[in-house]
Amino acid sequence: MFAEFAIALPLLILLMYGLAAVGMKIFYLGKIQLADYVLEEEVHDVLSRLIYDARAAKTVTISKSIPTVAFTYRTTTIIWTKFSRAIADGDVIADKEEKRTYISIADKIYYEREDTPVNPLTGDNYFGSTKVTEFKPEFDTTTKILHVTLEMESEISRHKIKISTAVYIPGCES
Amino acid sequence: MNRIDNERGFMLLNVVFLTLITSFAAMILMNAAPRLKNPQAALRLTAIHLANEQFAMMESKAAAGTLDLSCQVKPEDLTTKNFSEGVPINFTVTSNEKSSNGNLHTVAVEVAWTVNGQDASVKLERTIRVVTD
Repeated sequence: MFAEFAIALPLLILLMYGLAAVGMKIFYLGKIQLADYVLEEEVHDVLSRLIYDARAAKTVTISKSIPTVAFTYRTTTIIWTKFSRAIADGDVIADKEEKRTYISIADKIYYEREDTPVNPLTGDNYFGSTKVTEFKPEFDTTTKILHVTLEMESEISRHKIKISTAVYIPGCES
Repeated sequence: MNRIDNERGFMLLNVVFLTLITSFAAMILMNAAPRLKNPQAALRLTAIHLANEQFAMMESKAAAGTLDLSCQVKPEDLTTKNFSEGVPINFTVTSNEKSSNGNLHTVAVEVAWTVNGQDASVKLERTIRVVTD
């Protein structure tokens, strides 16, 4: 009886150890993969928002010291005097300017609109904390093209992703 | 009294079950490993943004009156190390005109790359208006 136990126990321990090692490896791979998904998603989110906002901009302002890109838009508000579908004589069409800003401070990208608090777009994800290592907007006034380079690093997998893109701003006046 | 002869079968069964579980775990592991080594998704994202860059360049020139189909992406943007374990990957950008209607031209941009001997590509289309006086 003791002999059988003496053979079975080390076998069992070895098997359990192997199982635990494989399980830990799978858990680790899953963690890395999740962190990479978060990293990709955040880069894509920031760039697609930025491009979408840039397309219709009237002016583009870029600051180098704290990487910032700001867009302004010309919008109008109509003050109605009569209850009608069409614009009547007494109605006032007032020009309004709207501003949207993307700022990179302290390893994060923040988005700012008028009258709203500054919102972080990246970082603070439980599954994959990320940090911005490079955010470089460049605007070419002659061709009206905005070049954007964004590099981010995952603090969990230590993987880096760097994406450069450009957007043509047809209505830009600056 | 408990006899070890009765428990021998259970012990064998345990060994069989544990082996099965371990092999299943190994199978899952084998499936996960190539996905980490071959991160096509991140490269596809890079390629889509490269195609957008090419479109932006073409639109800018089209606003001045010419449709330029050559590769106009910045040369430093054509090489990436995204998720590729430090191995740089080169993209090639080719664009051709698919159809045109008046001064509206439909252009297809194809961005291609190779990872671990596998070819992959992304193809995007956009209609561009060439401004003529």
